[in-house]
Amino acid sequence: MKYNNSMAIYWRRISKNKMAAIGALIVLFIVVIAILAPVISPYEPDAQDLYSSLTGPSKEHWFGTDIYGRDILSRVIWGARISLSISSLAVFLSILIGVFLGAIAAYFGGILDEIIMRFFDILLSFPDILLAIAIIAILGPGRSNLITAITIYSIPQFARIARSTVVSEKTKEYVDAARLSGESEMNILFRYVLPNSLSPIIVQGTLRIAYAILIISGLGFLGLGIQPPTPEWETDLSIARTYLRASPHTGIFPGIAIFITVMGFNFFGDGLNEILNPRMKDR
Amino acid sequence: MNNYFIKRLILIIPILLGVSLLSFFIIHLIPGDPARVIAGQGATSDDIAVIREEFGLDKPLMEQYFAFVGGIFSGKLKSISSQQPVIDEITPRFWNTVQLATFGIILATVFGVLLGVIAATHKNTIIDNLSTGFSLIGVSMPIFWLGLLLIMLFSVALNWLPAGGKDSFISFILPGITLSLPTAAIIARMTRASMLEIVNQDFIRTAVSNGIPQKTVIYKYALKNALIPVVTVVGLQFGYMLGGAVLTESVFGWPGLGRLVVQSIFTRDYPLVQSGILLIAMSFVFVNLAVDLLYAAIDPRLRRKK
Amino acid sequence: MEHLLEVKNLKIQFDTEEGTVYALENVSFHLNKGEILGIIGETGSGKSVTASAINRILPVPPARIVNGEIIFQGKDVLQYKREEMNKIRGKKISMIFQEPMTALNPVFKIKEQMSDVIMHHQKVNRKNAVKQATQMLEQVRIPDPEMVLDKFPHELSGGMRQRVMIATALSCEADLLIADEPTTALDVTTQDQILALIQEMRKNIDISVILITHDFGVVAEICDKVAVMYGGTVVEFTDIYTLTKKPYHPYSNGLLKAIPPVDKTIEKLNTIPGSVPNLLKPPTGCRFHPRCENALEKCKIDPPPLKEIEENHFIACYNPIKVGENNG
Repeated sequence: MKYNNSMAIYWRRISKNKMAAIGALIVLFIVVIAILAPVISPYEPDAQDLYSSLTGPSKEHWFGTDIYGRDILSRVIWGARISLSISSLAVFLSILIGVFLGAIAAYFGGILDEIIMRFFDILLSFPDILLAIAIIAILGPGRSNLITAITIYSIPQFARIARSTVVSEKTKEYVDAARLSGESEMNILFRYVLPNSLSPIIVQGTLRIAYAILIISGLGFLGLGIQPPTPEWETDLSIARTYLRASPHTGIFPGIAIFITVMGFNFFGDGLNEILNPRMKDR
Repeated sequence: MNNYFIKRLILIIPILLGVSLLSFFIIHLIPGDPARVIAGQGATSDDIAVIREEFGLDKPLMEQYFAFVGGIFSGKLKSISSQQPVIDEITPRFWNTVQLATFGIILATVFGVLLGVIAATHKNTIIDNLSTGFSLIGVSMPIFWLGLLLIMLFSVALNWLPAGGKDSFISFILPGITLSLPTAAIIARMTRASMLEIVNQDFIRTAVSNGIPQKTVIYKYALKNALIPVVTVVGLQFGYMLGGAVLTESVFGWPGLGRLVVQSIFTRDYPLVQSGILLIAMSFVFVNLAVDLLYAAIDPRLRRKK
Repeated sequence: MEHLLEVKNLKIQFDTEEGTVYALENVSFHLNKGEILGIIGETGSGKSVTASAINRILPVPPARIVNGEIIFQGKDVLQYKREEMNKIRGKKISMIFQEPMTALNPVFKIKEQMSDVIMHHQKVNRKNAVKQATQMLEQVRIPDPEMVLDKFPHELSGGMRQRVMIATALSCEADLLIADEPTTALDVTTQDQILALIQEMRKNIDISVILITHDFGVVAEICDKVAVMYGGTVVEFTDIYTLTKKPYHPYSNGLLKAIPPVDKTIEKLNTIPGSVPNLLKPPTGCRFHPRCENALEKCKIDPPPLKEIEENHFIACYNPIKVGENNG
């Protein structure tokens, strides 16, 4: 009886939560586009056609063409693939590393905790985008360096989440009980304690992907992102800037793509937050 | 309170140390020989040797570190491109960034708090939904795209406002609005959430049952409590704006420090890159410290006299 | 003689995530000037909801007032508009709450909080308001009022905060004080002091009091009249002596029997079998019937109305326990 009751409550929350639903739909839509890029893209994203340079939206080119005559719609579609893959990979890596480090720091405490957390404090003393810029400055632009940069600045956040969960759970009785029944410390940490941090991590992870897409776009805009001719939403934007006056469509469409994607992830992440951690008297 | 102050101040020192070390190490983390990197492509081995000599790259790392930090303040550390002391280059640019960030944070706070309070007091009405929508849109929009759009509208199409540069007060408007929008969105959301939480607290119930009129309850009793966490967010966002303004600066050609750092990366002017990053990071650390202390000062519960 | 307060057939429900909570089914009682009425019941009996309904600080939504009247000094409070209600709260009806630790605003000094209330209800300036506040603090037996006024709430103990709350609540000389479990969170000594204080207030400024509690000892100590609540209904309403001698309702009877006697040892504590009703799905008819020894078929169908079966002795029961079944 009680089980049914809590399932019923979750269901009510999910169906009432339009935000999560809309977000999920948008995310799904973008993911599908990214996956099907080779199939649905009308042109090759690199195919230049200098005769049709900078034409506005038309029947042949729904989003128009850029300075090299490349089809913007195709570039936007392929750009989705690249943005999504970089951001999700980077966030995934930072979750793995961050949660691991934060968890062992909190669980074993002592000097390990001090060193790890101090190091993260130093990392956190740099605004995210600045840290990313610094890392790109060191390693140079390019896809894998971009992933590295994003992973590095994202790690401390997840480490903190893991750490605070572990700190509050490790004094609880079930941990002692597990120890007494002979479980190894690592086992206890990863199988029993850490799963409690799952929901905030999922929520943060979703929001971080959104943020990563923004950062990738920012870096691309500055010229520090993926190098052309790879279709990248943002690098395209920076090229577009030069031609704003005459051909605004070159800037508008990639920007809209970024905007909708990021918004989708933000909606979804927020919605997830509502579902997994409902606040008492808020709605 | 004094103890807390001193403790926090002491804790800063290792962080500042770490930050300066990291900034210093930038050049040494680049794969390859630093001297070769600075010299650039097409440099002869003589050129590289000169560079090595000039930058003291043959000396032990610790000595280099102290030379680095000392060189910034003494003016010995010079920009490669301009041959001027880095401190002369980065200081005025930093000041420009600070001005823009200050303008931005004031805009963001005023607008954000107002929107948040109104949304909280008119929960579940159109205004509330609009505010939530604004909050989500504000953090989802790429900031430079927003800047571009504003330029297209107000400079190109309407010709009301300048598209770039820092000439007069009017130049502040577009970049300021651009910079402030994502932060305003965050502040609005934070204020709303904070207000909603406060309004459910017992002491609000006490005030209401004693007959205090609704406006007073909201704008005096609730707001003062609700703003405490908001102050933290405002401070952090300000610190963040100092470093994160780089995108806005680039869109509007604002002569700020972030933009200088990025440009220096392309010209491989590493002294500028390192010292620029160091300055931004240090100011971020100090802003965070100020926020912590401010928080303790505002909340009477933290003012224990031990 | 007109009652100071008369609650008639109050019915309140809450719309929550889990469904509708049938909080108050049928609450009726009255209070005369100068009386102390105790409302006693277990957790979930609806006593706090009743208290909050009287000065209308129930959050509506999620609460919904389905039915009933609350007649205070001749007028139905449920019909008042917001401004009218604001004028009454603090000035005519005051309330104090259970948790003194969280009841005061943490970022303002006591001085400011108290004088705000006084200034709202009387046309005085801040200085005079503070003077009045000082006098009130003296009345509630706070030794150094000026020092207390200058402090923040977290710098005072629980007992002090409760006194400050009482002082604030009474500072505008209300006619009715609602005290919602004012002593539950306090230790026994402080409890006694606060109760003595309330009695003294009644004597000095002729205030009428509704005291909500789950502790029968508190009721016995200072109340003139008692309303026993169960499952959102007033099941018995009479004066304290009659209740202790002749508790006609099976629930009141069970309650009183459950109190362990001071003068002899017993082997087993008396309890009322079963547990409090789930207000999401309350029992049909009389809400006590699943636990009642005297339950009839009728009880399962129609909830019994509150009827005066003797002078000033009201019961909501079809089959009350007759005199003879006494307790100590």
